[in-house]
Amino acid sequence: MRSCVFLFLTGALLLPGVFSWGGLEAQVTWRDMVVTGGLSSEGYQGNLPTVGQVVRDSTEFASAVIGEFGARGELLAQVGERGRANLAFDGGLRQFSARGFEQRDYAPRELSGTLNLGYTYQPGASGLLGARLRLRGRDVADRPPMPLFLQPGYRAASGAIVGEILDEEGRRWDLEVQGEWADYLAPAFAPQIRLLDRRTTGIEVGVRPNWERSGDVRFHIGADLSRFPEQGTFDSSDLYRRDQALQAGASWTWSGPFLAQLAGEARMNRSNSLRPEYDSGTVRALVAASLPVDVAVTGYVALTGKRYRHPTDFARLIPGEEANSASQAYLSLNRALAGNLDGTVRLNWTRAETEIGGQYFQRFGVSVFLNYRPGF
Amino acid sequence: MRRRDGPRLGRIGRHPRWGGGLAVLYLLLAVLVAMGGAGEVAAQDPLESYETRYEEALERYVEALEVRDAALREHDILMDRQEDARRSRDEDRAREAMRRVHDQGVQVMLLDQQLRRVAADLQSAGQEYLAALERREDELLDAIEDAFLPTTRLRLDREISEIRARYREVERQSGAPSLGELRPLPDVVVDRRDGPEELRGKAGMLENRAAEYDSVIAGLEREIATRERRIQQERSREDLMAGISRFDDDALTGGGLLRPGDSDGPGDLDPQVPVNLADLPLTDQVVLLRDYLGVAQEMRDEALALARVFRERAGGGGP
Repeated sequence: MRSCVFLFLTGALLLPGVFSWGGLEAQVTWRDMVVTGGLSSEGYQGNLPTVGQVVRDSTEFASAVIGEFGARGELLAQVGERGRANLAFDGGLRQFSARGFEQRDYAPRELSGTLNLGYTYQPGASGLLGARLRLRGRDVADRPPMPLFLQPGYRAASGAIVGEILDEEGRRWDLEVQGEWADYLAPAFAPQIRLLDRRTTGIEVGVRPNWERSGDVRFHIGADLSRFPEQGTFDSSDLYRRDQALQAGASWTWSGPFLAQLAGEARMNRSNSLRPEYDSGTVRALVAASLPVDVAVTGYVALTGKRYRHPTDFARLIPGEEANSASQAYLSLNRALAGNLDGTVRLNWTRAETEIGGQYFQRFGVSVFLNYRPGF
Repeated sequence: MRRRDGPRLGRIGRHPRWGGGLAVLYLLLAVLVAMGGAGEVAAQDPLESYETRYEEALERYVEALEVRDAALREHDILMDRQEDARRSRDEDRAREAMRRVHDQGVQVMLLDQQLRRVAADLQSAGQEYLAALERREDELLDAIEDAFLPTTRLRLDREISEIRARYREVERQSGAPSLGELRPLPDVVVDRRDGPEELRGKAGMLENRAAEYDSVIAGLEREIATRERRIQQERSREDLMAGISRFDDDALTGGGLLRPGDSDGPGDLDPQVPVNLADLPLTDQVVLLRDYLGVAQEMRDEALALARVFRERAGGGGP
């Protein structure tokens, strides 16, 4: 928990100093600073077992009232004539009061913090180089049983080198090479959460064609290599799980009287362990539009289809690695209430797979948020 | 056929009394939204002639702009000197300074009119050239469909890319005034020889200019409202996405929400490229437009106040 607080406070309080380091004489500006507070009511359905939960309980339906607080901001700095740095932070606290379980009520509390540091340098008119560093921490106290699934706590760090080039036909090519390290926080009575620890390296190539009047279109293809140092394969010649994934997709962004984004990605995961080999596809769509009486509506949908390659009687997934297995929908209505204050009503629905492949739990709720932008 | 009829940047002038401060605004607002479709041009006219006509118009425009800006700077200097002269209580010196300011003001107005003429010529030549480029692109697209040899297709493809690049360049350069150019206040003063008719005429001139400012103000208010709607939409999207990812609620879908699509790309940071309003963040655009709106409102109010003074001196009577 202390590391999350550290990340958050670092972002909020110490960031301006970074840009004055080394006499860079950078001109620093805030891109956005938002403080958010809200209340939610959620329901959870699906009495499905998970080996990773720290407690056992049994219920088909649970509910919770949730209070949350969060803040995010980003600092931008022009460094010299051709450099630009950005430092972004995001953090929050979410407190649940959950009911409906058989043994007792639960009061899980999540604390998260993220710090992103980026730098881009433009050596010429047609090229761009950059680097990114990301630190993220997350803690969960009193983690409840299913169907209220909360990601376990972890510490993660990732870094990436990126490059972009503009070719003679006006196409923008980009390349990203990245690495990530993630260690999960396992209490003494649930050491199995450490199975999620992973080390990942990946590469992705993208291109934005120079198409007229089509918004921003990007195609990409990439590959990831992941090692799971705590997961065995039961194969004495190849002891620990290693995955290779290929993904390809496209995204489209259009901004006019309304804002629209559409993305699709196919993913093929192969492993030296048969259990997690799958093919999946996800389509994501977002629309933001203005309604009468100064209301902005934003809808976001992510739909996922997934197919495993090998039948098994054992658990498919370790809790927390249910990636590429969920569908989600969000609808948000936003209206300004005062100069720097706006209010949001949000509806959400999630359908996600448990470790027993092909079985799902659901989460649905309604939230009210207030967003304050100090305006500096 | 592609029609580039979306909003484009046009030019906005400045009032000499806000000279230095407005210089930045002028540059940033130098190409505000202009509407227009490609003009009808005889198909047999070769592309080169349109290009030549356009290049000449651009050259004339740049020259006229430089001359007008130099005159504006001189006007600002003379106004400062006039203020010094007024403070010195030397009546002869003050009168001479006032005369020079007046003469220079007339000169600026004439150059401003000249600039508007060449800007209109540039816009017209630009539209004709753009239409010719579109026709040429159509021809090349037809040709590429009929081309048999890969080398021919490659060559034609390269030509099409060049045509499109040129199109975007011309489109950017020839964006001409439409949203609003703030012409300076008419430099009219009460002359001892002015009778009621002359005074009412001067008041009418000021009221006409105020009406021009009103149309600029209305255009700016529309532009600000459009951008504020977009800001609200983008903030709504960012708030939603930040809320989903803050507590890893998106991790179940594999994370990786949509890329923002507004990241810097090659060319976006090039300090050699002139800053256009449309390239700035929306919030900065609104701030600049609001600043400009404030200037326009001040000029409108000043024109109306002066007109009232002239009418009172003329002995009353409405416009």
